[in-house]
Parts: sequence; structure tokens; C-alpha cells
Amino acid sequence: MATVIGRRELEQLESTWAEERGLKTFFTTVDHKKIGKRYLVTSFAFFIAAGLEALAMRTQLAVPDAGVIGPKVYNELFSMHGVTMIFFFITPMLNGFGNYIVPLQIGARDMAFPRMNALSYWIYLASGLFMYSSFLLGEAPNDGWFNYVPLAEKFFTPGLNIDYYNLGLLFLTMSSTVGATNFLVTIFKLRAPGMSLNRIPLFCWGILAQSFSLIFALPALSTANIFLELQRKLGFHFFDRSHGGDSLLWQHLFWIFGHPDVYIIFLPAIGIVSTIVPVFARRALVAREWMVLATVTTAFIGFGVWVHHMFATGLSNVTYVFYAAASMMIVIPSGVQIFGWLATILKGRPVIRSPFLYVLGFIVTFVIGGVTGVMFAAIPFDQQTTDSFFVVAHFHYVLFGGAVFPIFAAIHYWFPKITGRMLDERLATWSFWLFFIGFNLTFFPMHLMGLEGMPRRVYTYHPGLGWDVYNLLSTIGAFTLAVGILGTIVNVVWSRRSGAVAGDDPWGANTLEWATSSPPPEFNFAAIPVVHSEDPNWDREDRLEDARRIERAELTLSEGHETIGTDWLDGNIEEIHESPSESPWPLMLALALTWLFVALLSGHWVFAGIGLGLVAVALGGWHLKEPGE
Amino acid sequence: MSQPLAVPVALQRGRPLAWWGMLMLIATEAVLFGSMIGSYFYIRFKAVHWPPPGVPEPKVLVPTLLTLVLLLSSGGAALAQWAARRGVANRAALGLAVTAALAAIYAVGTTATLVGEWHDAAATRDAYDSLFFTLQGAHVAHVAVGVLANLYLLAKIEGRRGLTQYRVNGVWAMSLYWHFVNALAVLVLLTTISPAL
Repeated sequence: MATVIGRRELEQLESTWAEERGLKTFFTTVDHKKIGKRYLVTSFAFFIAAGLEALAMRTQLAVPDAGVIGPKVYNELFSMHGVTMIFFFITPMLNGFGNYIVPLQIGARDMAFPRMNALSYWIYLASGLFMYSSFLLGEAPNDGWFNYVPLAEKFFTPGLNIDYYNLGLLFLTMSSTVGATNFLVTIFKLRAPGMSLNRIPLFCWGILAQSFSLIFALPALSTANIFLELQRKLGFHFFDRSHGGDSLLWQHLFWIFGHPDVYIIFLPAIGIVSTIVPVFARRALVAREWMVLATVTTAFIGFGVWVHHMFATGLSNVTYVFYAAASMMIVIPSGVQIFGWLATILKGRPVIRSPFLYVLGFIVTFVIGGVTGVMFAAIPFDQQTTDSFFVVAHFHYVLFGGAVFPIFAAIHYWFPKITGRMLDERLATWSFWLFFIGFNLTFFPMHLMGLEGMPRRVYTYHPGLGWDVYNLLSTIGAFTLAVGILGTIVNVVWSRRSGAVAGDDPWGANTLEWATSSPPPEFNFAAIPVVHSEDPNWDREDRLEDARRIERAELTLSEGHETIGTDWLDGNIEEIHESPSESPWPLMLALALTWLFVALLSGHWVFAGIGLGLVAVALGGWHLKEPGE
Repeated sequence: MSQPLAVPVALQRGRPLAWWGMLMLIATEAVLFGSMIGSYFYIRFKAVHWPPPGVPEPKVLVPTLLTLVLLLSSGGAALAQWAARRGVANRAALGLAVTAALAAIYAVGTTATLVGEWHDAAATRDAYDSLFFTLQGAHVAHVAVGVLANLYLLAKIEGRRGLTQYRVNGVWAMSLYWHFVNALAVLVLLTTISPAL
């Protein structure tokens, strides 16, 4: 039972960390858990938007010569579907889990830069609304998610469509860069004492590898977007042959970003898988070091394979062969991980619950997507199937299979931690099977359509080409999938209030987020946990010792907004960090940036100048109140 | 009284989180300039004439001298960091001021040079000019941001509460920023004057 000291420490922590209730705090909060939840809800809304776009396309393609949607709208739909799923759903959704879970898993009280965390959310929201406002003008991006020149040049696409694309992505990139920086510093510097590099949880490794990839990959996309926008708005020349430019430069820059982006999406997702597998297999992860190395290796090799997206552009054979070989190399770390999970499951005593179902679904779909991926590394095969529906089938198997399945696993796995309630298991199981069958029914026939020669990005097709049945099946699959997703939404909405009470650790899991209450208090841990193994929550004695520390007022840091700073390698305590509390300035800065980007979009240079001034003012205001003041 | 450090280790002060954050920002900015410089040479090696006919060769002497002036600012940044860490507010302020002044000379001088060169051949003329001005413009913008940040820090340190730990961290991070911007200046200079060498 709590002693006097323990109770006083808890009271002091509660009063220090409690944020004011009310509308003001809604705009000023820097609590990583609130921001994480916002990321999750907002990105799921974008998922629904992009899903509806997909359903519209599938409806149009259900039968030959359908007239539901014309070519102009169809172009906007598939472009925005890709842009939204990649930039505004998967990455931010994973970062939402990262935001909520990473500080808990490493035993910290917040992110390294709490205000920047709020900033990255507000910029993400603003850039998403900016991008979607293009639909109001009927000028949404319409040249595909990779936006190739020369089609994307002003001469061929004169509207604001591509300006929305360029500026919207530049805007969003700020959010991703700020977020990645925050994750890197948080995971390197704020880990619990004793959590050396080799004890970092697998999900955090995934976020770490993703953040590094973001830091090093995004600038290539930014360069491409800056160049194209300068060309469109001010008449510079980068991509047009007539003035000494080169259209392939866009493809190089885009895919130098674009391929690592596949791993930006994939690595935290497999981190989720590696988190969930040992919990439900009831044993430690097999070959843990190899799994970590495979994660890092995948991120690294991912930077050296971009030309395999350009096998049909007429580069030299030497170039092709090099990149084909590099692409095949990815099979090695991916294989290590697949076998690591399988071995863990085989050596354990698996308990099948809904999160684990989604993980198993992931393994099946991802292996299929991986196999078709290897086929593309064979250059002649790639040249034959490029721009056909086979490609669409492949990348949905790896992206939906590789990221959305793990995201749904994560929803089911961490829901009890975030809300304190369990999801309904029966509804979850039903939803899973609809989801799994619907997914395969949607995308497997696309392989066959592609092999039969159906090109991607066409808004309709004539009957009698051998594509009719596949298309109809695919559309039926898409609606089945939608029903499965709807089931999950209903489950989440219902269980949030009415689900069974979860308790601190409903799964018997091995990581630290389960060592605190569900949902966790504002300060996460009353005493910062001290870690002695890779599976800290399975070390019962350690966790009991944490509880005793509260009574002794050790590592409780109740004097202010404090958390422990450790060295990046061994996890030894270096110092105590005083972190900032609520601030209105992240929102102000995001609003100033919104002003700037709207002015740039509409070409009002005076207003853009004022926008820059506002940005400077917001940055100045940011530092008026210093932590601990 | 809480005992924050029951785990027996010596409390040592590592680099501040702000420094680590700046390191990540620099990493990403380095790739930004890397891909711009990469694009420059990509286009260059596909071109027959570089610079294209009718475009004058880039000026060498003035940009090189200006870059040398900018490089001196690393000394000011080092002084500011050294003094700030030791709590010597006036020396830290001096370091910040010297850095800002030298960098401002570079920014103004380079802008003036660029305006002159724009007059001879504007960025809208050819891919060569577009790359030339975009690369230099991006770098001058980075220097200008640094000058503003330094002046802001200077005002804070001269202000009411002097050299707080938060501001020390700021000086420390900005010092790293200046070393980076200056190293970048050399790369940008060598790239843009390369056709005249």
C-alpha cells in the first residue's frame, strides 16, 4: 500500500503534469499521447477519404464502358488516392502509433521536443486540408502520385492541380522532417536507464529506421518539387529539353525518394509485427539481433534500388543490371524477418487473438507481394508488365499487405492501452475475415488483368478483351473489404465506451507501455523504469522494484516537467531534462505556414512575403516562454 | 525532497537535445543541397556547352572572397559556443555578433553579385542559369536565416534574464548550424564556379 512519501510523490506528479481542461488546452497541448491520438484519428479520416476514392474507381471499372466517372475526375481520383494513402494515411498513422507508444516503450515521459511534436501534427493537418481543398476548385492533382514531367509541366497541365501537388507535399514534408527528428532524438537520448541500444524495442527500431530514411530521402522529393514549382510559376528550366533541362531528372529525384519511401512505410509496420508476434507466440522473438539488423539493412539497401522503377526509360543495360541485382538483395533481409517470425510462432505456444490474426494475414499477403516484387527485378519481365494492372496488384500486396494489415493489427493490439477498454473479439474476428477475403478478392485478379494486358490508369475499357470477369470480381472484393473496415470502425466506436475494461496488461506483453495503467497518466510512469533485459515487462522483479522506488521517491522526478536523459549507446543516465509544457506557438506557426503556402499557390508574392514575416514572428514567439519558467 | 538519481552514476552533462535536433536538421539539409548539386552535374554532363552559348562564365574572384569572409564566421560561432557553455554572457554575445556581421557581409555581397549576374543572364533563360541561381539562392537563404537566429539570440542574451540554460543550448545548436552552412558554402562555391576553372 502506498506510503506517505509515495502518495505525496504521485500527487505532486499529477499536479505538475496535469494540463488545464478546456478549449484552450485543445490548441496548446504538447502531451505526446493526445497528439498521438490526433494523428491516429486524422490519418484514419484520410484513409476513409482515399478508400472512398478507390471505391468510386472500382465502381467505374466494375463493368466495361461504364459511365459513372469521366476521365478527368478519374485522373484526379487515382492521383489523390495514391497521394493520400502514402503521404496522408500510412506514414502519419504509423507516426500516430509512434507518438503514442514510443515514449512509453522506452520509459520516457514525453518526446524530446514536445512543442515540435505539436507542430508536426498541426502542419500535417494543415497540409492535408490544403491538398484536399483542391477538390473544391475542381483542380486536384491529376498526374499520378509520382507526377511525371513533361505531363506535369505547365504547358500540358495548366491548372493549379500540380501546384497543389508540389506545394502540398513541400508543406507536408516539413511535418515529416520535424517528426522524424523528434523520434530520432527521443529514441537516442531519452531511453530508460539500462535500455542499451540492443534492448530498444523492435517497434522503436522500426520508427528509428523509418526516421533515418525520412531524413535522408525526403530532400530529394523536396528538390524535385521546388524545381518543378519554380519551373511552373517563375519560368525556370529544369525538366524541359527545349531549354537544356532533362525530363528524366524528375524520375531520378522522385524515385531516390520514392523507393526509400516504400521502406518508410514498411519498416515501422514490420516493427509492429515484431512487437506483436512474441506476445501472442508467448516467447521471446527468435534471432532478435538478426531482426534488428534486417530492419536497418533494408532501410540502407532501400536507397540503392530506385532505378528499378525506371526499367522502361531506356537507360543503359549496365545501369539496369546493377539496380536489378541491388533490388534482389532486398530479399535477404526480408527473408530473415519472415523466417524470424515463423520460427517464433513455431517455437512458441501461439494464442490466436484479433491482433495476431492481422499479423498472420500480413505474413501471407506480404509473401505473395514479395514474390511478385522479385519478379520485377527480372528486367524483361518488368518491361513487359510495366504500367499494367500487374504492377497495381504487386504494390497493393506489399503496401496494403505490408503496412495496412500491421496497422490494423496495431489498432487491435494497442486499443486497450489507449482507451482502457477491449475491442469486441467476435466482431473483430468477423471484420478480419471480411478484410482478408475482400483484400485478396480485390487485388489478386489484378495480377491476371495485368498479365492479360490491361493498362493501369485507364478510366474504362471495352468488353471482350478478357478483363470483364476479373474487374467485376475486383469490385466485389473492394466492397467486401470496405464492409470489413466498417466493422472495425463500428467496433472501435462501440468499444471505446462499452468494451470490457482492459487493465494494465491484457496481453501479458513484454514491453514497457504495458507496465503503466491503461490509459497511462499524463506523466506516463510515476518512477522512471530501470531496465535489465530486452523484454522488460516480463521481468517481474524489476517492475516491482519500480513500484518500490515510488515509495522511496527515487527516479520520480516530481519537481517539474522532467524526464531522464541517457547516453545513446548504453542507456546510462546523463542528466535530467526539463521539458516544455503547453504552448500556443506550434499552432500559430502552422497557421503562418498555411498563409505562406496559400499565397504561394495563388501567386500573390506580397502576401507570401507577409507570410514569411508571420513565420518569423511565430518562431520568435515560440521561445518567449522557456521550459521551467 | 525527491532523490532523482538513486542509480549510482556520475551526473555528466552531455550535448543538449537542441544540438542533436540541429544535427538531424543538418543531415536533411545536407541531402537537400546534395540533390541540388547532383542535379547540377546531372544536367551538366548531358549538356554540350556549359555554360550554354551566350551566357558569360561565372565570376570567380568576388564569390571566393565573400566565401572566405563567411568562413571566418565559424570562429565567431566557436567563440560563442565556448563562452556560452562557460556562462560568459558578454563573450557569447560578442561571438554571436561577429558571426552575424560576417555572414551578413556574405549575404549582402552575394545577393549583389547575383543581381548583377541575373542582369546578364536571368534564371529563366536556360537550365544552366536556373541551377546556378537556385543553388546560390538557397544557400544565401540559409545564411540569412542564420543571421536572424543569431540576432534573436543576441537580443535574448542582452535582455532581462541573460544567459539561461535554454539559451546556452540555443547558442550551442546555432554554432553547429554555422559550421554546416560554411562547409556548404565551399561546396556551393566550387560547384557554381566550376565552369570557369
